[in-house]
Amino acid sequence: MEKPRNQINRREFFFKGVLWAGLGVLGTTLAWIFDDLWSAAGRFSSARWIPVTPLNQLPLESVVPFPEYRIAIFRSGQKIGAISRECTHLGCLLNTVDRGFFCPCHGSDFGPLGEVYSGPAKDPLPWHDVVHREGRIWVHLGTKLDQPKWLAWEGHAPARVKEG
Amino acid sequence: MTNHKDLSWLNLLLLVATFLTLSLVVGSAYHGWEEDRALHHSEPGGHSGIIADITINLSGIPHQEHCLTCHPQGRNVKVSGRDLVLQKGHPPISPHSIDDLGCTACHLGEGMARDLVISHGRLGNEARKVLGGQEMQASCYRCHELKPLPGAEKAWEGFQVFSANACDTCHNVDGLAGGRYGPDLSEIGSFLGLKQIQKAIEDPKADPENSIMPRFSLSPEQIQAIAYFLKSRMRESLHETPMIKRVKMKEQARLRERGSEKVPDVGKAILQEKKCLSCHKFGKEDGQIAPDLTYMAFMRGEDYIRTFLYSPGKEIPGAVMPWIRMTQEEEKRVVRSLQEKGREGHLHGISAKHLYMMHCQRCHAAQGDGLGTIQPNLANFPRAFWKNQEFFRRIPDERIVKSIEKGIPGTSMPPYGELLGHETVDSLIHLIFREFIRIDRKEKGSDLIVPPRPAEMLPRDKTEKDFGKHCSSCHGVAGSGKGPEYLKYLPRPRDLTNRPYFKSIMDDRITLAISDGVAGTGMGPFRDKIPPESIWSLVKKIRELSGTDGKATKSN
Repeated sequence: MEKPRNQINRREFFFKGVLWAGLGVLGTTLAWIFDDLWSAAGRFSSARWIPVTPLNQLPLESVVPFPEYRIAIFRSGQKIGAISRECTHLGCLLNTVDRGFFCPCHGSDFGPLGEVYSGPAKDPLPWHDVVHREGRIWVHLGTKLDQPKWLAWEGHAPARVKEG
Repeated sequence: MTNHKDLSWLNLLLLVATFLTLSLVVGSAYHGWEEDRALHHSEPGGHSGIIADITINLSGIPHQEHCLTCHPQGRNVKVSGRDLVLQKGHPPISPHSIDDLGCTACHLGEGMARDLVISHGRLGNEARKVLGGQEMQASCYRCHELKPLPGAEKAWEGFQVFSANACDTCHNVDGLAGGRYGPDLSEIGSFLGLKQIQKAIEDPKADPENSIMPRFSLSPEQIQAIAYFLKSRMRESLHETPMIKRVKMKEQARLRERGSEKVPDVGKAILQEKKCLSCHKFGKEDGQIAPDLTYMAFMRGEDYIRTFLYSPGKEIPGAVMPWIRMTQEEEKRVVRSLQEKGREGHLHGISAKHLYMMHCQRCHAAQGDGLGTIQPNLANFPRAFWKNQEFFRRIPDERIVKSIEKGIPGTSMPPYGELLGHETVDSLIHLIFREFIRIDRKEKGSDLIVPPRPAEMLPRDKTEKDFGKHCSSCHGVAGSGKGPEYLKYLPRPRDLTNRPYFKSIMDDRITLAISDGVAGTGMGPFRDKIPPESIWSLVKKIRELSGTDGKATKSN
């Protein structure tokens, strides 16, 4: 008897079922292992998105330093940007002062937007990529941008914070 | 077409040369390996190599070293000619043992080097320089918790001195929750040797010259003790994984913050607790680094003190005082303690000489040359009186009186008027003229002529060019007073972005400072170098830099 094209017999069905199920399990396991490795690797590298602060903790007009991530977050009204606070000379953590940034190690002075005011540092401070998700500001510490990437955002007025 | 000779033989030559180089590299590598094997190799039969390698396990990581080759059983060794002369043996170190810790875990040095200089870590900043004798205690707190430890008394004392002198107000050390104002010292031991750390504390401004760290009045022994403590702050952890380290750090930070709530609310206890008196003077206690706060709250007023505590640089741009972590309650108590002394507490009827010693000498110096004890830590140089006749001939008497009575905004000069009273201030000025300036108070030079104000200012690009040509080498491109040459001058170039200062002075005075210079400072006259309209355009630029354009409020 000629077998219809779309029909399979029981034996074939069984083997194919086992095959596909096996492949599925294998694929899922591999994906899970990969995901685990990936997230573990991310935890120890800077090249990942870090939830830095809830948006409502950022004062409307402010530069809020985050020493643990070596960055400062700018907020000017509805604009938000993240600047690196690592000196471009030898990598010390910069102080946030009234008119910009100051390096306690060798006295480099940076302007409010990271421009070099006085040496020994020669390059302006780099910026980081920044996004807003689930009410938080996320910063990607792995990216270094020459130009600020401003995140425009509509938010409500928050409380006053200061460096810890 | 071409007459070039056939150069294909060069290919062969290059091939041979490459082959020769390669075989040389491989050959020498093999030779080194052979030699190394011969030196290290210990046969199962019992014959041991010359170099005694040992492997120790420190926090799960195997460390190899061969110090024991020259120092059998850890003995001291003297080199005489080609021989090693064994000296006294290693002191007992129970419960530690060489088998567990090896040598470099405590003594530093490079365990696998085969060179006298490198193996003893005498390179670079001597971060790995071998420690011995007394210095050994610099290693104890690398593993041990920070609490009193027999044998590490000096290092423990160093930690106490470090905390007592408010070093941690500026410097962060992991686990101690320090400030972030100065460089982080959590890993300083991995970068500097003991001697280098001592030198950096002894004379902070030696390197780099523009360092803002004050020189603390510490004895050489205290500095050595601090160095022992700091040397133990190293990156490499010998007994705990990074995660355990992190957990411990957080715990210690929490303990520390909780500890500060127990301070009794009496008198100046809070000033001590917040370590204000490590730098400042209050009453009889004196840190000899920062201004006298005894009457500061009375003179400056509560609002000023509060603003200053929140952001020192706003009131005195360039002030080196760090922001201090305080709760609102603590801030209130600090202000209340500072207000304790008012005019009533001030001595009456004391001579001008004693007043000078009490209030002026700290900054303006006993010699009146402006190099007072705390001058290096001030944002602005205190005006020199000694041999500064030219300056005082030029300025009107009212300005001198006003500077003392009302203070100088944007600088550390507080208003003394209310505290001392008009007559006393007058007698003080007389004393300054008599003893330091050495001219008659009424002796004034001819009035300087302010360059005529032009109807229209120069275009912006022209002013920028002038500024770049004449001003920025000292005052900096941004006017912050830190141009490439600013360290050549003392008094340092004026910070042109100092808002409170420039808000208090009129255009005429800035114009005169540019056209005729400022006597006793590095600022020279520009009257003959640039035309009046340029000078006035620069004044406008300074107004923009300091954010005071269009509204020069009070004259001074």
